[in-house]
Amino acid sequence: MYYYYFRFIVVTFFLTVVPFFAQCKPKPKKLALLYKADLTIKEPSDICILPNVNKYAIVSDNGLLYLTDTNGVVLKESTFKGFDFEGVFADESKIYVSDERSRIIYVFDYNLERITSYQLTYYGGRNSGFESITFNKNKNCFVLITEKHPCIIFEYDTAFKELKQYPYTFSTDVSSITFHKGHLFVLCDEERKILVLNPNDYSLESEIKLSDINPEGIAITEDGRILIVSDDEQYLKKYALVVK
Amino acid sequence: MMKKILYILILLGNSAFAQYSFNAGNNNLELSGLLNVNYNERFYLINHPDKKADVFKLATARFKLEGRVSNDYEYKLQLDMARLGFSGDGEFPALLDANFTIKKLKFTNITLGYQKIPYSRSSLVGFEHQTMWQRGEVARGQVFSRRDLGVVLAKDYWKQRINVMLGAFTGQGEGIMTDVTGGDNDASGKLEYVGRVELSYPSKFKYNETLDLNHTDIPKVSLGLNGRYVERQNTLQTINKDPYGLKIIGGAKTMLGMDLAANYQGFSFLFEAHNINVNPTDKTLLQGLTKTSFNAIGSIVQLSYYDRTLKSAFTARYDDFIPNDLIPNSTMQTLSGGYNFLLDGFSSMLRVQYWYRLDRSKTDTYDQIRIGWQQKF
Repeated sequence: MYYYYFRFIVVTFFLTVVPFFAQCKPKPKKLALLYKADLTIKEPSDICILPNVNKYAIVSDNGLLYLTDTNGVVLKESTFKGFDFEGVFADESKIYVSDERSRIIYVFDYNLERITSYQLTYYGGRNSGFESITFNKNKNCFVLITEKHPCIIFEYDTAFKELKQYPYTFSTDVSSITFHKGHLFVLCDEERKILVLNPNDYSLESEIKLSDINPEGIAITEDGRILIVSDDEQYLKKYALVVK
Repeated sequence: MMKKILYILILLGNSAFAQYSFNAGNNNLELSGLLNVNYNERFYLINHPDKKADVFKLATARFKLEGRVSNDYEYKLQLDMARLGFSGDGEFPALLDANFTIKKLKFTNITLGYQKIPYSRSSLVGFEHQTMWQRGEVARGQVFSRRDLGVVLAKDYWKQRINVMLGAFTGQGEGIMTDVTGGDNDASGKLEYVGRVELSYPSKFKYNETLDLNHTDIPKVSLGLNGRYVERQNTLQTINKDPYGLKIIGGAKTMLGMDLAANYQGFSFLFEAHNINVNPTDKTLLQGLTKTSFNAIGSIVQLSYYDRTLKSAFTARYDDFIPNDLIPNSTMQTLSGGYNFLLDGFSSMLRVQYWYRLDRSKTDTYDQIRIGWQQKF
């Protein structure tokens, strides 16, 4: 009997110690808070910057898209209501919204009028779908990452035809992504960190620590300021990256 | 070879699908399941003939359907196949959930059907998020019923930091779904009333946050206060699930409880206390004393630490229970130690629990170890 106990202890030891040595990650960078604004939007889940118009688009868990000023004050609310808006990205004329539960990408104009939609196929958990969407300028394709169980990177063409999938193993969850100056920034809600990926092969370049509770959305301004929205705390924060 | 096996295990864990979902217009349906297999061994303090607990056990084989229609309705149906084989004794309902929620009303959400009773945080935390194989004695379903058929009104305030739940149930507990009651109510025709209020800060505190997996830098706390009241004519006689005769007891029963949960820097803390006051129809329970009621009292104190590098959680728990305060020396006290290796969070997890009984004098007292694996799909 003791022999079996001994074997169990040995197996347990290997199951715990080996992963410890397997994890070699870059040293995380830190952020300095510039300002914080409380949002009137309930359960905000992602944010993006509308190029050239100095406004933000924010989506919420209750299936609504909002246009805000740079302080997060709501200027307009979409008349169309989806189920569970979790990801948002804007190009020069359109806003792309990921409805996590229905797996639909809704496309809006800047007046928040719905233009069209694309049905994607993904059979994972309803609350583990696409929480993130951005456009990878390096590869000229949309990138969506499933939230968890498991996280998978999907590439789509501009008509949302699936191009390729990549495994993602750098965090247990992904709540938002954004492309900025040749890098892909991945926000991890549960582990409260931002990962910087190479947009060509999706390899890990660096890591930035966050202390926010339930950060669900990320966007980066032209001058490199990082915007974070928190779902639980219902706020918008602007950060500067601390230069070491 | 061992490294290869471990690598495959880790990859499998990271790529495991926990649920599957389907969409059709406004409808969304999710399928998921939960398997738990364990090995249990008892260590009787005094030589005892009962060795049947030294056994492999299929603790759960659950299958769950959860759906939504727009953002207006939700429904849930959950069965535990592991209980189907034991339905013969009429007190282990295989049905765990059969309810739907109306969410389109502005002033409240309404959940109707067979569901968890909103009482006790330990009870409300799903089994898949428990660090131990068994909840503390007072909250593991042998002292008060954890499920019943009824209605719950729920409303949240202040960014979901405050949750208020009010419910009315048959008062038959899990027995309402079994041969024990045949689905009938108590002869008194009276319902059980339940209320629970939760206050969390600085943000909502979900029931599944039993471990601080993310090592939060900001302390999170949640205080829960709850109560139940029922007046019954008859005691519901069951065999295994009501060893103290308290769950469905004839008479007036008032339960008051509180729970406090906190997470910070990898540590998770839980404290619960319950007082059950019973004015029984069976006056022999008053032990011949000039009292009108007796109290059953129980508490749980639990502390866990999650090490992200080791993917391991270590838990220590103390729990006690006094079934009847009129009977001297009836206190049960247990220390438990737990270990979890979270290969893929709670989706794929090793779970170990060791029970150490603090009262070493009773002839049927035993310590116990249970080791097993949990897999969600």
